[in-house]
Amino acid sequence: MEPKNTQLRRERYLTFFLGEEQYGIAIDRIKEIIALMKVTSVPKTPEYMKGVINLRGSIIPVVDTRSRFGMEPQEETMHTAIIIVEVDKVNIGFIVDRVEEVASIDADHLSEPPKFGSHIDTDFICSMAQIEENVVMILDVLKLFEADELVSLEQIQQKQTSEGE
Amino acid sequence: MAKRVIIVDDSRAVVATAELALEEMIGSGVIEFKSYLNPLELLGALQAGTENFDLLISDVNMPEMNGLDLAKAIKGDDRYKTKPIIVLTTESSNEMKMAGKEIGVTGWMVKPFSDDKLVKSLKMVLGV
Repeated sequence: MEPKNTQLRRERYLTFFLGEEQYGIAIDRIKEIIALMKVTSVPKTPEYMKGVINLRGSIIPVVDTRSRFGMEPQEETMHTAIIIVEVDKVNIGFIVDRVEEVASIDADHLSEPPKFGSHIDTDFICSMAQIEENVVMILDVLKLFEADELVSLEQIQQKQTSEGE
Repeated sequence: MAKRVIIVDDSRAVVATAELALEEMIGSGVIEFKSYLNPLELLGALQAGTENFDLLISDVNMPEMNGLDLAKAIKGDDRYKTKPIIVLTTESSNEMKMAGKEIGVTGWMVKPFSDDKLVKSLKMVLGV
Protein backbone atom coordinates (compact mmCIF):
# COMPACT_ATOMS: atom_id res chain seq x y z
CA MET A 1 0.00 0.00 0.00
CA GLU A 2 2.09 2.91 -1.29
CA PRO A 3 0.81 6.44 -0.72
CA LYS A 4 -0.19 8.05 -4.01
CA ASN A 5 1.61 11.28 -3.18
CA THR A 6 4.05 12.58 -0.61
CA GLN A 7 1.26 13.72 1.68
CA LEU A 8 0.55 11.14 4.34
CA ARG A 9 -2.75 9.40 3.73
CA ARG A 10 -5.11 8.79 6.62
CA GLU A 11 -7.78 6.23 5.97
CA ARG A 12 -10.89 5.93 8.08
CA TYR A 13 -12.21 2.57 9.21
CA LEU A 14 -15.24 1.35 11.12
CA THR A 15 -13.95 -1.14 13.65
CA PHE A 16 -15.88 -3.93 15.36
CA PHE A 17 -15.31 -6.95 17.52
CA LEU A 18 -15.88 -10.65 16.94
CA GLY A 19 -15.00 -12.23 20.25
CA GLU A 20 -11.65 -10.80 21.32
CA GLU A 21 -10.55 -9.84 17.83
CA GLN A 22 -10.97 -6.40 16.36
CA TYR A 23 -11.61 -5.91 12.67
CA GLY A 24 -11.93 -2.84 10.47
CA ILE A 25 -13.70 -2.06 7.21
CA ALA A 26 -12.97 1.09 5.17
CA ILE A 27 -15.82 3.49 5.84
CA ASP A 28 -16.42 4.38 2.20
CA ARG A 29 -17.96 0.91 1.93
CA ILE A 30 -20.18 1.26 4.99
CA LYS A 31 -23.79 2.12 4.31
CA GLU A 32 -25.09 2.08 7.86
CA ILE A 33 -25.13 0.35 11.20
CA ILE A 34 -28.37 -1.09 12.50
CA ALA A 35 -29.44 -2.98 15.59
CA LEU A 36 -29.99 -6.69 15.10
CA MET A 37 -33.40 -7.29 13.56
CA LYS A 38 -35.43 -10.28 12.43
CA VAL A 39 -33.52 -12.26 9.82
CA THR A 40 -35.57 -14.47 7.48
CA SER A 41 -33.64 -17.56 6.44
CA VAL A 42 -33.34 -18.41 2.77
CA PRO A 43 -33.07 -22.06 1.68
CA LYS A 44 -30.20 -23.39 -0.46
CA THR A 45 -27.69 -20.73 0.54
CA PRO A 46 -24.22 -21.18 2.06
CA GLU A 47 -24.24 -22.00 5.78
CA TYR A 48 -22.82 -18.61 6.72
CA MET A 49 -25.74 -16.86 5.03
CA LYS A 50 -28.00 -16.07 7.94
CA GLY A 51 -30.79 -14.96 5.61
CA VAL A 52 -32.28 -11.66 4.55
CA ILE A 53 -33.62 -8.60 6.29
CA ASN A 54 -36.16 -6.10 5.08
CA LEU A 55 -34.62 -2.70 5.71
CA ARG A 56 -37.13 0.03 4.91
CA GLY A 57 -38.36 -1.96 1.93
CA SER A 58 -34.94 -3.12 0.66
CA ILE A 59 -34.13 -6.79 0.93
CA ILE A 60 -30.57 -7.22 2.15
CA PRO A 61 -28.70 -10.53 2.50
CA VAL A 62 -27.13 -10.96 5.92
CA VAL A 63 -23.92 -12.87 6.65
CA ASP A 64 -23.29 -14.60 9.96
CA THR A 65 -19.76 -13.20 10.18
CA ARG A 66 -18.71 -15.57 13.00
CA SER A 67 -19.75 -18.53 10.88
CA ARG A 68 -17.97 -17.12 7.81
CA PHE A 69 -14.78 -16.84 9.86
CA GLY A 70 -15.19 -20.33 11.29
CA MET A 71 -15.80 -19.02 14.79
CA GLU A 72 -18.11 -20.55 17.40
CA PRO A 73 -21.62 -19.07 17.45
CA GLN A 74 -22.43 -16.69 20.28
CA GLU A 75 -25.70 -15.67 21.94
CA GLU A 76 -26.97 -12.33 20.72
CA THR A 77 -26.50 -9.46 23.15
CA MET A 78 -27.65 -5.85 23.30
CA HIS A 79 -24.41 -4.97 21.45
CA THR A 80 -24.98 -7.34 18.52
CA ALA A 81 -25.33 -5.21 15.39
CA ILE A 82 -25.59 -5.50 11.63
CA ILE A 83 -23.16 -3.45 9.56
CA ILE A 84 -24.47 -2.84 6.04
CA VAL A 85 -21.56 -2.88 3.62
CA GLU A 86 -21.49 -2.31 -0.12
CA VAL A 87 -19.67 -5.22 -1.72
CA ASP A 88 -19.37 -5.02 -5.49
CA LYS A 89 -22.61 -3.00 -5.80
CA VAL A 90 -24.52 -5.39 -3.54
CA ASN A 91 -25.48 -4.25 -0.06
CA ILE A 92 -24.70 -7.02 2.41
CA GLY A 93 -25.29 -7.07 6.15
CA PHE A 94 -22.60 -8.46 8.47
CA ILE A 95 -23.62 -9.51 11.96
CA VAL A 96 -20.95 -8.46 14.46
CA ASP A 97 -20.65 -8.87 18.23
CA ARG A 98 -20.02 -5.20 18.91
CA VAL A 99 -19.34 -2.04 16.96
CA GLU A 100 -16.30 -0.25 18.36
CA GLU A 101 -15.52 3.09 16.65
CA VAL A 102 -14.61 5.02 13.56
CA ALA A 103 -10.82 5.15 13.60
CA SER A 104 -8.33 7.10 11.49
CA ILE A 105 -5.22 5.15 10.60
CA ASP A 106 -2.19 6.61 8.86
CA ALA A 107 -1.33 4.63 5.76
CA ASP A 108 2.20 4.08 7.03
CA HIS A 109 0.85 2.48 10.22
CA LEU A 110 -0.67 -0.34 8.23
CA SER A 111 1.36 -3.52 7.98
CA GLU A 112 1.19 -6.83 6.21
CA PRO A 113 -1.18 -9.40 7.73
CA PRO A 114 0.33 -12.35 9.60
CA LYS A 115 0.27 -15.83 8.13
CA PHE A 116 -1.03 -17.41 11.33
CA GLY A 117 -2.41 -16.61 14.77
CA SER A 118 -5.86 -15.52 13.74
CA HIS A 119 -9.12 -17.46 13.72
CA ILE A 120 -9.66 -16.57 10.14
CA ASP A 121 -8.11 -17.28 6.83
CA THR A 122 -5.68 -14.40 6.29
CA ASP A 123 -6.79 -14.04 2.67
CA PHE A 124 -9.61 -11.81 3.92
CA ILE A 125 -7.21 -9.47 5.67
CA CYS A 126 -5.60 -6.80 3.54
CA SER A 127 -3.60 -5.17 6.32
CA MET A 128 -3.19 -4.75 10.06
CA ALA A 129 -2.86 -1.77 12.32
CA GLN A 130 -2.36 -1.02 15.98
CA ILE A 131 -4.99 1.13 17.70
CA GLU A 132 -4.00 1.74 21.30
CA GLU A 133 -3.40 -1.73 22.74
CA ASN A 134 -5.43 -3.55 20.09
CA VAL A 135 -4.37 -4.96 16.78
CA VAL A 136 -7.02 -4.29 14.14
CA MET A 137 -7.33 -6.53 11.13
CA ILE A 138 -8.51 -4.60 8.10
CA LEU A 139 -10.82 -6.72 5.99
CA ASP A 140 -10.94 -6.94 2.24
CA VAL A 141 -14.69 -7.54 2.04
CA LEU A 142 -14.56 -8.52 -1.62
CA LYS A 143 -12.39 -11.51 -0.73
CA LEU A 144 -15.01 -12.74 1.73
CA PHE A 145 -17.02 -13.92 -1.25
CA GLU A 146 -16.24 -15.88 -4.34
CA ALA A 147 -17.31 -14.09 -7.51
CA ASP A 148 -20.17 -16.53 -8.06
CA GLU A 149 -21.31 -16.10 -4.46
CA LEU A 150 -21.78 -12.38 -5.03
CA VAL A 151 -23.84 -13.11 -8.10
CA SER A 152 -26.05 -15.45 -6.10
CA LEU A 153 -26.38 -12.87 -3.31
CA GLU A 154 -27.49 -10.34 -5.86
CA GLN A 155 -30.00 -12.86 -7.14
CA ILE A 156 -31.33 -13.47 -3.63
CA GLN A 157 -31.77 -9.75 -3.25
CA GLN A 158 -33.59 -9.40 -6.56
CA LYS A 159 -35.75 -12.49 -6.02
CA GLN A 160 -36.79 -11.49 -2.52
CA THR A 161 -37.46 -7.92 -3.60
CA SER A 162 -39.67 -8.96 -6.50
CA GLU A 163 -41.52 -11.47 -4.30
CA GLY A 164 -42.11 -8.75 -1.79
CA GLU A 165 -43.75 -6.47 -4.34
CA MET B 1 -12.89 27.66 11.94
CA ALA B 2 -14.28 24.18 12.35
CA LYS B 3 -17.21 23.93 14.72
CA ARG B 4 -16.67 21.50 17.56
CA VAL B 5 -19.43 18.90 17.79
CA ILE B 6 -19.53 16.54 20.75
CA ILE B 7 -21.72 13.48 21.05
CA VAL B 8 -22.21 11.68 24.32
CA ASP B 9 -23.87 8.28 24.20
CA ASP B 10 -23.08 5.05 26.04
CA SER B 11 -23.68 3.08 22.83
CA ARG B 12 -20.58 2.86 20.65
CA ALA B 13 -22.83 1.90 17.72
CA VAL B 14 -24.78 5.16 18.02
CA VAL B 15 -21.55 7.17 18.24
CA ALA B 16 -20.13 5.39 15.17
CA THR B 17 -23.41 5.87 13.27
CA ALA B 18 -23.32 9.61 13.96
CA GLU B 19 -19.67 9.84 12.99
CA LEU B 20 -20.34 8.01 9.71
CA ALA B 21 -23.27 10.33 8.96
CA LEU B 22 -21.09 13.38 9.60
CA GLU B 23 -18.07 12.03 7.76
CA GLU B 24 -18.31 14.50 4.89
CA MET B 25 -18.50 17.49 7.24
CA ILE B 26 -15.61 16.11 9.29
CA GLY B 27 -13.49 15.40 6.20
CA SER B 28 -14.08 18.86 4.73
CA GLY B 29 -13.12 20.52 8.00
CA VAL B 30 -16.56 22.10 8.58
CA ILE B 31 -16.79 20.39 11.95
CA GLU B 32 -14.49 18.57 14.31
CA PHE B 33 -16.04 15.59 16.03
CA LYS B 34 -15.43 14.26 19.49
CA SER B 35 -17.29 11.53 21.32
CA TYR B 36 -17.73 10.53 24.94
CA LEU B 37 -19.23 7.29 26.20
CA ASN B 38 -19.48 8.57 29.76
CA PRO B 39 -21.36 11.82 30.47
CA LEU B 40 -19.49 12.33 33.76
CA GLU B 41 -16.21 12.38 31.90
CA LEU B 42 -17.55 15.06 29.55
CA LEU B 43 -19.00 17.11 32.39
CA GLY B 44 -15.71 16.90 34.29
CA ALA B 45 -13.77 18.10 31.26
CA LEU B 46 -16.21 20.96 30.63
CA GLN B 47 -16.06 22.04 34.27
CA ALA B 48 -12.28 21.86 34.25
CA GLY B 49 -12.27 23.97 31.07
CA THR B 50 -10.29 21.35 29.13
CA GLU B 51 -13.23 20.73 26.79
CA ASN B 52 -15.54 23.01 24.86
CA PHE B 53 -18.19 22.65 22.17
CA ASP B 54 -20.28 24.49 19.61
CA LEU B 55 -22.94 21.77 19.65
CA LEU B 56 -23.57 18.92 22.04
CA ILE B 57 -25.63 15.90 21.04
CA SER B 58 -26.57 13.91 24.11
CA ASP B 59 -28.30 10.60 24.70
CA VAL B 60 -30.87 10.53 27.52
CA ASN B 61 -30.60 7.10 29.10
CA MET B 62 -27.02 6.61 30.16
CA PRO B 63 -25.96 4.58 33.20
CA GLU B 64 -23.72 7.19 34.81
CA MET B 65 -25.96 10.20 34.37
CA ASN B 66 -29.25 11.03 32.67
CA GLY B 67 -28.82 13.23 29.57
CA LEU B 68 -31.31 15.79 30.86
CA ASP B 69 -29.40 16.08 34.14
CA LEU B 70 -26.23 16.51 32.12
CA ALA B 71 -27.85 19.26 30.02
CA LYS B 72 -29.06 20.96 33.17
CA ALA B 73 -25.60 20.89 34.73
CA ILE B 74 -24.02 22.28 31.55
CA LYS B 75 -26.66 24.95 31.05
CA GLY B 76 -26.16 25.98 34.67
CA ASP B 77 -22.57 26.95 33.87
CA ASP B 78 -22.26 30.51 32.52
CA ARG B 79 -19.59 29.43 30.03
CA TYR B 80 -21.97 27.06 28.27
CA LYS B 81 -25.46 28.36 28.93
CA THR B 82 -25.96 29.69 25.39
CA LYS B 83 -24.47 26.63 23.67
CA PRO B 84 -26.92 24.42 21.77
CA ILE B 85 -27.71 20.93 23.02
CA ILE B 86 -29.65 18.35 21.00
CA VAL B 87 -31.05 15.40 22.91
CA LEU B 88 -31.21 11.90 21.43
CA THR B 89 -33.96 9.69 22.70
CA THR B 90 -35.84 6.54 21.82
CA GLU B 91 -39.13 8.02 22.98
CA SER B 92 -40.26 11.59 22.71
CA SER B 93 -42.85 11.91 25.43
CA ASN B 94 -44.38 15.33 26.03
CA GLU B 95 -43.31 15.14 29.64
CA MET B 96 -39.70 14.73 28.63
CA LYS B 97 -39.94 17.52 26.06
CA MET B 98 -41.35 19.87 28.68
CA ALA B 99 -38.50 18.99 31.03
CA GLY B 100 -36.03 19.58 28.22
CA LYS B 101 -37.58 22.90 27.28
CA GLU B 102 -37.33 24.08 30.86
CA ILE B 103 -33.64 23.20 30.93
CA GLY B 104 -33.08 25.00 27.64
CA VAL B 105 -32.48 22.05 25.33
CA THR B 106 -32.35 23.22 21.69
CA GLY B 107 -33.92 20.21 20.03
CA TRP B 108 -34.80 16.55 20.08
CA MET B 109 -33.95 13.73 17.79
CA VAL B 110 -35.62 10.33 17.99
CA LYS B 111 -33.37 7.28 17.61
CA PRO B 112 -32.77 5.64 15.22
CA PHE B 113 -32.12 8.86 13.32
CA SER B 114 -31.44 9.03 9.60
CA ASP B 115 -28.13 10.41 8.32
CA ASP B 116 -29.95 13.19 6.49
CA LYS B 117 -31.88 14.23 9.57
CA LEU B 118 -28.74 14.43 11.66
CA VAL B 119 -26.83 16.44 9.05
CA LYS B 120 -29.78 18.76 8.47
CA SER B 121 -30.34 19.42 12.18
CA LEU B 122 -26.67 20.00 12.74
CA LYS B 123 -26.37 22.44 9.84
CA MET B 124 -29.44 24.30 11.01
CA VAL B 125 -28.25 24.63 14.59
CA LEU B 126 -24.67 25.54 13.68
CA GLY B 127 -25.64 27.74 10.74
CA VAL B 128 -23.11 26.09 8.42
